[in-house]
Amino acid sequence: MSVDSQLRKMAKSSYWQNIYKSCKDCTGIHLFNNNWNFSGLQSRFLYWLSTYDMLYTELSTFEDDLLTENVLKDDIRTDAYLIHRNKKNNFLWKKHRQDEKEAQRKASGKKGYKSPGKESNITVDLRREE
Amino acid sequence: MEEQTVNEVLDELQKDIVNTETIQDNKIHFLSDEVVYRVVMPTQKQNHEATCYKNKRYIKLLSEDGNLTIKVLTKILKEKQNIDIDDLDKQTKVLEEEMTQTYISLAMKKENETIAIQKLKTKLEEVRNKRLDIIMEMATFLSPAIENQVQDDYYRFLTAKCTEKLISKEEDKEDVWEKVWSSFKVYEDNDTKLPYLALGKLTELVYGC
Repeated sequence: MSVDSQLRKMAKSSYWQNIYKSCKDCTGIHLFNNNWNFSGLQSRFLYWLSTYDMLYTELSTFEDDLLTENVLKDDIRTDAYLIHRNKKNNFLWKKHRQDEKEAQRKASGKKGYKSPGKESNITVDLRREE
Repeated sequence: MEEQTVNEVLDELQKDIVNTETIQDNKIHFLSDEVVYRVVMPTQKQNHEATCYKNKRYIKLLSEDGNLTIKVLTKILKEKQNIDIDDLDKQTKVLEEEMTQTYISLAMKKENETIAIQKLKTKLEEVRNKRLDIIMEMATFLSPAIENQVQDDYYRFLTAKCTEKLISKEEDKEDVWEKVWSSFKVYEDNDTKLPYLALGKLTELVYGC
């Protein structure tokens, strides 16, 4: 079993998930003996703890039909779901930004003024006063 | 190293090493010839020493004839041996994209589509192995480059500094550990499997892979 598989097996266990949740809620509990100079192993473990915490939360709130308990039991299917989730979120974020811009454009159109900076209607008389 | 020793090192490195103690303690313990060893995280000072050593080696290798940087080696490989590193790199990128698309197809499968799920998992395995083969091929071609040599030296320097041996273990008393190698020179002169084993464990600890 690869190091990453071993880390994931531990990170998704209820034991470590409960400790992780307690650490987030209560500052007196520490995950590791050291509080600094984290090893790559610990950093990777922290990444998987937070990822599985997020996935379990999404599973409990039925965020996506594609996320099931069986998916979380299988590392390859979990990776697949994470890539799909990332793509989906990027798409939704872009769509949200586009909708926002469209709404802004419509709102400014209704008020009867053009967006600033493109065209000026001010006329300036530069002739010297008599 | 003899073949027997290489296999012993590989067997030892493939053992499951991650457990609650390893994660909390930030040290990896291992056995070699019935002696307990451990690798510990390098301190800021040790990291600094290793970086200084790496920089010195880099300048020394640059000033010596016959040593090549990755850029020059890539050019020579292409001109003299018709080995195109850039093309190999492009091939890995294509395979990465193929993997991403296969992962997305796999994510869309419902629980009852077991045959399709299995097929996609097999495909992923094949593409991943193909990519790994190309990466290994590139690494072999580029291993003589100065950058790769000094990176190896950096890890070896840290291994020499961060490997400890269990001296005594008594109940109700703290374990006593001492450095295995008094200097990097002593580490380099050690012809047993231990330096290789310790190097593998340190890489696992520091980089988590």
